[in-house]
Amino acid sequence: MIRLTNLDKRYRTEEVETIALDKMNLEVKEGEFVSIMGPSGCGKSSLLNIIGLLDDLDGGSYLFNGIEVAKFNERKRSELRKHNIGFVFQSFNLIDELTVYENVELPLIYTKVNAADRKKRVEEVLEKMQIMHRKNHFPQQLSGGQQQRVAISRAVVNKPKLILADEPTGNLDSANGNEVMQLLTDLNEQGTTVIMVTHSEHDAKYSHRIVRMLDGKTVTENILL
Amino acid sequence: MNQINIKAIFRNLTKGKFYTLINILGIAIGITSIVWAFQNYRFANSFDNFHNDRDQIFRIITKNEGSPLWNGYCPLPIATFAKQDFPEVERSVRLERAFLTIRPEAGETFNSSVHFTDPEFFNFFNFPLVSGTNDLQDNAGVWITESEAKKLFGIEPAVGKTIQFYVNESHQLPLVVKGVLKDLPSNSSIQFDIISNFLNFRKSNGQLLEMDDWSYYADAIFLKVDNPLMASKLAEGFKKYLPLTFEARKDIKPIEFQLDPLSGISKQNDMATNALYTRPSDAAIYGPLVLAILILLSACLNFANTTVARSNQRLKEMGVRKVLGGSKSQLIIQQLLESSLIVFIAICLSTIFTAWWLPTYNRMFDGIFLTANYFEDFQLFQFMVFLLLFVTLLAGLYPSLYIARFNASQIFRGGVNYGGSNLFSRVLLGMQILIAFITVSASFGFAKNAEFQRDFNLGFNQNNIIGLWTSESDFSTIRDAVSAIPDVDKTAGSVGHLGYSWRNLGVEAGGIIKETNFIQTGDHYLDVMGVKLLTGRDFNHDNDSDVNKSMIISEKLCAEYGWTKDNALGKQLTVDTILYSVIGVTKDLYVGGFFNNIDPLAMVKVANTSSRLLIVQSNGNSLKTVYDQIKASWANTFPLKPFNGFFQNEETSQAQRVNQSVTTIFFWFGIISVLFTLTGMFALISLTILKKNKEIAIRRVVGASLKDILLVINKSYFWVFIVAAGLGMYAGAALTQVLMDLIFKVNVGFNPDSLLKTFIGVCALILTVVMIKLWQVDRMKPSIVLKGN
Repeated sequence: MIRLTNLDKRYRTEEVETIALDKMNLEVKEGEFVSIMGPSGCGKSSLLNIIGLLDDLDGGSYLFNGIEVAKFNERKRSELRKHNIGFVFQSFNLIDELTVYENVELPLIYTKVNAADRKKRVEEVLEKMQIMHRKNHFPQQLSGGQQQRVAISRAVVNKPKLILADEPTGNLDSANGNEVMQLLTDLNEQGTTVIMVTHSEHDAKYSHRIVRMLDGKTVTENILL
Repeated sequence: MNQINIKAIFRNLTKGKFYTLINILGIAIGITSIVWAFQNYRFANSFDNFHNDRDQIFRIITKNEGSPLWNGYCPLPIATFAKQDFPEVERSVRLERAFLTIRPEAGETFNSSVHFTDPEFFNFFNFPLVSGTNDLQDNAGVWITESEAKKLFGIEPAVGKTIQFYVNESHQLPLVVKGVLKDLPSNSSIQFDIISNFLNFRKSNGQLLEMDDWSYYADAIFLKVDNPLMASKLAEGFKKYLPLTFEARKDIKPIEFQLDPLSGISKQNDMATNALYTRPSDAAIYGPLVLAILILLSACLNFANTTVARSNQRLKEMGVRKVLGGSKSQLIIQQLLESSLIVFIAICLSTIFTAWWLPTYNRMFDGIFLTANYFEDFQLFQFMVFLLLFVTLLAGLYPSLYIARFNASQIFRGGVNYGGSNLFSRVLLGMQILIAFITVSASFGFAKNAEFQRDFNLGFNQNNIIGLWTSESDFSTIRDAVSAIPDVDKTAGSVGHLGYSWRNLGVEAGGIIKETNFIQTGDHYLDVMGVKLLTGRDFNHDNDSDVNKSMIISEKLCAEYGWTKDNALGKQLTVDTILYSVIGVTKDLYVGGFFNNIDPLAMVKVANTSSRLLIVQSNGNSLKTVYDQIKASWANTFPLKPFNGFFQNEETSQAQRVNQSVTTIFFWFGIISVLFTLTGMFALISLTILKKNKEIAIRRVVGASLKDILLVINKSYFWVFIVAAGLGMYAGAALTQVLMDLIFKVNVGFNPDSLLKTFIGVCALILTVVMIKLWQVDRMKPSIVLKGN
């Protein structure tokens, strides 16, 4: 599904250039659950941003379902992203001005799903995530675990092929963390590819494969299954 | 736009209630200003545009020897002869204006503006009829406006009622109301209460006008021509009548005619004589436009600045929307819609402000009638729609582009540090400061001018004089009655009057004619009016020996002929066919008050029996009490005649009213623009503090004083302020001077006092904002700030 070859990413300030990804190679097959681990600053989040088409790469190739997307412009990236990729963040990133229901509905609006279908799909996913009873609440009125369930609902409502999770349990206690990991596992079992950045060995054990990074490169790959 | 996005827009707006409210209020004020200026501009440019044949109608104007200015009057017979002699002239209409004492049947007497005209009048001009007929051929008839009908007859139907003309004269004339006209629009250069056939016009001696009397000048003569392009050729052709006019009258020597198109009549603000109404001066048209554009611009800048300054709070939302598939253009559109909602609410609010402001403005100046009927006036409606789009783009485009430009990964990585101030926002703030300085300095400038004009000596008495228009036959009776009032110190008689009534005539000396202000005075006039002679003597008041013989002239008329005040005495001047000798020279007098230049002036004496204006000097405490006593005395003496008294300083009071109005307008706009500046500054400094709170906390931990912190916060605004203040004061001084010169020929000019007050005032307010923010910084605990970071 994803093939990254010799991927380079550099961040430049006026005087300093920082190498985030250095000739990085990675392949993720459809249906896989991959964890990416490594110390802070090793390039995990940069990698996730590039896979999620949120950031440009400075060199190398990125094939998504066999299509070279490295040179895609912003419009094409946005199109590909909204139909194929769901995001889950450590800090949830829900829009404070929208209710639970509206937050989850938002991706469907961008993909121009009609109102009746939107209602059906939002309610389905909220039921599934057991957050339906909070649908009219605003994010600040929810606990961390509940917010992350809303974020996952939002990530999956468009039935993406790929979910990118950036430390999804980082702001949660262990009980809520386990719950979130179980949700991601369930999604993966239903066929969604999941790539997760994490510092937690415990969370990584939910995945099929752990990719360990250092200084913008893959250092080891552990297959858990 | 989806419902969710609309909800998000509303929630965002309600989240920042203070800034939303400030922005809505600011833009509403800006829109109110621009609607006012727009309607004012339209009003000024709509004069006489309701006449269907306006492109074919011309007024004949004349230029006299010795003056560069045109006159609205024209020799009376040209109306008849032009039609006979020139086939291009389709029709002609004469118009003569008179202020008559009239009396409706079984009613009290009134003074009214009565026009006399030819039967073709209603074929020339479109003044709609409310009731009756409009056949002016009927010379037993009279036509009145709705307001006049109400004044004269109350709620009773006016058609068929009788009005007595020339009530106090021997040639009284009863006329029957044949029609009631809709009130004349304010944007009409022809204004009357009553109109009748020219045959009903009587000269002061009661005689009818001879239609071929070349010595008589009608107030206005209009021609309707087939081909408007022939106008200049026709005017040239009319020169053949010049010998006839000069032969008939020596004191007015026309040398040139011109056909003035109806569409341009209202723009003739600088004519020597003009019986028609003109539109407001250019200062009153373009001044509001400049002011309104500045205010709207300032409101938009405030909106842009506060939106960008607060954009930090929208980072996550923008990032999430991008992650979920929102394109840059969608985010821009969302932002613009948010702006348009604010503008829309502001427009709604502005309709309330406008409903208050336009009538208030109308009351400030005579002859202006601005309205805003959004749903009846399609052009105004279109303008409002245009404003919605334009102001949305002006205020919202930059923040929209700014907020939507960052990519999501930057935002989530925390690498975006936006909001607060950047070069552009500082430039915007600079422009706001500049606008504030312009409006505040103009306000101080006009206040200073009011003070200057209040104390200015026009060369004759102002504040202790009451005038009373009467007739030659009643003059001595009322003078004797008024002289008996204890607080009346002196009385004088006159025909013309400084500040109120004078004629422009050609005065000839040594074969050279100079157009001159000419005033016929009566007994003791110069003494009572306080006019000082530089040399020579006053008129002789014991007898009529100076009548038709002696003249007192101003320094300027001396200079026109190259005389000095000393060698002018004894010089001879001719007016019409009468030869006068100069017996005295006065300083130049501001005959036309502050609105006119000093012109040459000649004063002569009329016989004691010719005075029809009583001038009263009272140096007691209350001139108003004396006025009331004179009024009571008049009512006792002439119970059936209307009282026509006035205070001499009414003319200068008009200038004071103009000053006061302009000062008030600039004062309020100054306050508004200063408030915009303070709000913008407050927002930017707040965000600068937010952005630098870690730096400030660390500096304080290592021992920085409040003065050091003050520099950290404000150093980026210091130069902005200095440059904007400098430019603003210069622009304010220039604008004030231009406006003053356009309104007043006599003004104080712009002075450093006003600039200093502006600088001190605005600086004090800005400093207050800075100190409030510094006080807030002082209360921040560095430990908490650093822990938060």
